[in-house]
Amino acid sequence: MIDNLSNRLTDLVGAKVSGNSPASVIRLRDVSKVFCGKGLETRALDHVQLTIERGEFLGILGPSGGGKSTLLSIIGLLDSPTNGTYELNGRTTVDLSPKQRARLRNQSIGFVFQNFNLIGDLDLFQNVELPLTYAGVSPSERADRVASALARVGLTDRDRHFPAELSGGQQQRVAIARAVVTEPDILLADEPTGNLDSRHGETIMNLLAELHRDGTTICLVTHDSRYAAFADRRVELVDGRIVNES
Amino acid sequence: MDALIQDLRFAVRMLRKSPKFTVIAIVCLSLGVGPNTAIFSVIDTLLLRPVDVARQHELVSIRTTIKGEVGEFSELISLSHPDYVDIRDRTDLFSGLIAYSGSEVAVKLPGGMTTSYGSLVSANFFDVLGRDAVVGDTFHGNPRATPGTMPVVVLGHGFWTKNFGADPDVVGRHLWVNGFEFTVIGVMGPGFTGATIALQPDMWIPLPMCAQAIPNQPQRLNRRDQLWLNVVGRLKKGADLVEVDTRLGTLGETLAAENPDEIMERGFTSAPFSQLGELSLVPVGGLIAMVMGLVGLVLLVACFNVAALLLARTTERRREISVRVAMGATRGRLIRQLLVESALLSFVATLFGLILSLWTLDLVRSLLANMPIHIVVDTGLDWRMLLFSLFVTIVSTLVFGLAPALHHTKLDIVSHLKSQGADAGSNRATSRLRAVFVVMQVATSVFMLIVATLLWRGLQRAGNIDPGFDIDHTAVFHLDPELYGFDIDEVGELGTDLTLRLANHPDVEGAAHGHMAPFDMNYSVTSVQAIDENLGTGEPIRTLKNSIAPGFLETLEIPLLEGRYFLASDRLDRPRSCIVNRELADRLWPGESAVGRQIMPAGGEESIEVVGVVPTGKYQTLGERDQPYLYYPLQPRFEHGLSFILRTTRRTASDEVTAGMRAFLEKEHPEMVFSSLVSMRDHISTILWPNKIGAALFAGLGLLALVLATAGVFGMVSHEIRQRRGEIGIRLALGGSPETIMALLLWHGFRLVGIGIAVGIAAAWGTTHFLTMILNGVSPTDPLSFVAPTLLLVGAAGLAVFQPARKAANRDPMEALRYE
Repeated sequence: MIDNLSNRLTDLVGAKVSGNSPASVIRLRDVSKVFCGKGLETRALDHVQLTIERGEFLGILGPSGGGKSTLLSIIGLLDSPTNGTYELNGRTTVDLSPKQRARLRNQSIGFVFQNFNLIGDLDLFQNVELPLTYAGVSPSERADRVASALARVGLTDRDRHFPAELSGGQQQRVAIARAVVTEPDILLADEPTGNLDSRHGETIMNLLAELHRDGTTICLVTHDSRYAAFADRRVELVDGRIVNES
Repeated sequence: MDALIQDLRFAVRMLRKSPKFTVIAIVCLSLGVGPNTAIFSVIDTLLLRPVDVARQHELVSIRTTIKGEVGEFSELISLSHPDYVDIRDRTDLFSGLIAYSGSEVAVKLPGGMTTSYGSLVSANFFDVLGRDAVVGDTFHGNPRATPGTMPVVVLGHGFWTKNFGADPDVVGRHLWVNGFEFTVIGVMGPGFTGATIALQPDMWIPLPMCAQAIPNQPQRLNRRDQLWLNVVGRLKKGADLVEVDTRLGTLGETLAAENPDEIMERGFTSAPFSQLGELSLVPVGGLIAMVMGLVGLVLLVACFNVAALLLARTTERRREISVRVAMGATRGRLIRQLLVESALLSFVATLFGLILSLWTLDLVRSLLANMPIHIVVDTGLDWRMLLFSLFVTIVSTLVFGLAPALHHTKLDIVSHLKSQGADAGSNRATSRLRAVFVVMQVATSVFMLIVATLLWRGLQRAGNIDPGFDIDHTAVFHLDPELYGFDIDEVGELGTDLTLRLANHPDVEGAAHGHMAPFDMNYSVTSVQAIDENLGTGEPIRTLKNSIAPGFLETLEIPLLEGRYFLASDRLDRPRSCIVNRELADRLWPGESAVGRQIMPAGGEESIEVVGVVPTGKYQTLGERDQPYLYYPLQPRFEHGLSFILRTTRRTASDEVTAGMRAFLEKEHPEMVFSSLVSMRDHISTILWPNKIGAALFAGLGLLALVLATAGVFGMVSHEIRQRRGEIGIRLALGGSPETIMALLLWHGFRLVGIGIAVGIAAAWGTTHFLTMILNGVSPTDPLSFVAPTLLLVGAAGLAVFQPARKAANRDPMEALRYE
């Protein structure tokens, strides 16, 4: 199945994403992002150099407005850098068409948001199934993989419930299941505990740590040093620059 | 396919989740789809649908070509009977050739005399068209049958149902047509109209009975100069139009050589068969485009309305769309999902629209049932209607669904993903697009209402226009004495006799007759030239003409400007005389007296003396410009039919008086039909029916557009207010009064309404001059017609804006802030 997916992706972006994958999943070189509006120029990222190795758990810290979310958006192919190059699995992303970016996002990147971003009109099964639908996976295979993903986050018996019927912690677990169901190369978590109390926050972080132990590459954005401690490596972003790395 | 089914399931869920939105959208679209489908169906039935004949594609129409004055050839739809016979007998291109022509006939029924619409057809008519009777049989006679030897008729289904209660035993009964005895041999099916669409003849009479059906022209079958028959052939296998044209051209030349006195510069040509008959030479496509364009505007308003609603709704779904993008959905996939939702809405709305259109068609059919002629409007659901509905569904889906779908799949994903609430705040581009939709709705509505008001004002003005004679105390009727067996020489006597009898009636102050009455549908035109002893003949002036008996102008109380009225001694076989109107006099002899001057009519050999001048009146339509008009003394031998004018003593030609006059005439002549006797006002109103239909259509559709536009404004303002709840709360918390908040919201709503009105007025200002001819003197930029609809829309939009604005301005600020 993975071969199937990667073959399809190879067709689309011309890069092999598994098998002979490079050690670095993400490589940013001199990436800057400038927002222009009404004569005012805002530099959100300023010559950022960043590499995320396969299997790594990277924590991105920094104050509000430091450029964390912008960085995550660029890594997640939701935005493009103004300058610099961004390679995902060794393939530059600058020349990708919107359709290729959508495909790559679907196959290689999993998102976990602070506010869960589950679709209220879809039940849990359908929410988790969504990325597989866009990937063109067959219904029977989708059912297996969704069941497996929900089992990983401990929500097997709730698959026909709707998001509104779950607690915040449970919703975020569903969001994590949705993020990993395609077995992406990297999971991007943007303040995943921001909307949760400390007990649920702890649970989510443990779940991410468990995924990491199983081999998932994770990039976590947080301003909470307690949760940053889960990461193997931490970078601090202030005013769009990496000012500290540990 | 799997993904499409998923999209469909999700669409169903989303529509069920928002029942209010779904119902409003479906109602709006149904109101747009319903009239479109109904009007398409009427147009389809009247103009587009193939006639009920076998293998229509094998039929070709034969036409006459005539060389004009400047050498150009023009086509006429009709041929003479000898031409038909020659083409039939001297070519081998057709497996069958038919000829047909309509004619009014007088029919004696158990309930009394009636005038009916008969169709004279060649004896092979039904065989060539490939249709049989549903009751009895058709005539399968020899097309070469001897004249007068086929006294049979086949009845139209409508006539049979109306007059014989659909009694199958009608076959074998005798029917008196124009005083001649015919036998009913069969009845055709309900949808059979012959070779012409929509208009179903009351009966089909074999061509050999022409002398009985058109008694005043017994030589019609033998005259090559009388072009009156539509001719249609069924092509033999292998023959095509090119070959037909070639052979007909050769035959035309041969016939011209053989009949040099009767055929001059004339030939034949062929054309693919058209069920439109005479209308096939008219630009029907333009008319259809205009009507469908008009009704399409309503659908457009409905679509704008739903597009604005969808835009508002998808605004609330921006976060969901962003999540889908983050999950890897391509833009195409998202557009497809949103379009599936729109298509589902369209589909349901089309179903309701179809029901609405079937009701409308039932109404149309019941209105048509009261008409004297039987117009077949099939109100059933058929594949053509369904196909059109499908077309409307697709178009409306694209119109109202595509813009919001394209717009919302081009969004700022990151900010929406990070937003906390359902609303990510008002998006300026979205608001702008929604505002455009509202402006377009208002503009379309104003445009249609202005046109409707102008047409109504034109109709109103028609009642006040002075046609040049007294219309309130005058009645009119038409009579064709030859239908009742009167000899041509007896018609004049009958006219004089009837006029005298009517004039002696206690309710009548004066009576007269002529060939045509004012505002008759038919008219005659001629060209005349002034003859001057010194200058010779002048330029030919084209003028309307009428032949009238002495007393005609006096009865109508048309005053004399110069000279005298006609006298009994003014006959065409005596020294020739005429009366002209002021317009013709001024064109022939500008600034000079016309009385005593001579004119030469086109093709005439003797000059005619002008004996009187009367004021210029109205002759064809009330809104017409001054037209030249020429009166000749009546000579019934040369005219077909008489029109009678009555001036009543009660100083009104009310229904009561006209009914009394009808009864009087029927008693005097029980063998004749006087159903056409009406007051002059009613007579004139028949020429205004296109204006009335136009005004009613515009008014109905304009009001529908107004309702839709008002709903659109209400929806837009409500949504804007919902989007700005937080802002309103802050303003109130900072000390803003409800009045200032309300003024702010009202300004926002009215600004768009104002722009829409301005656009609508500009569109109307630029186009209403095309209506000048039918406005009866009302200016196409009539201020009242522009102001009244504007005020109506301002009032309706005011209510739509005021209610949600007042509610928002009086809200508890804490409630609004809590929401924020």
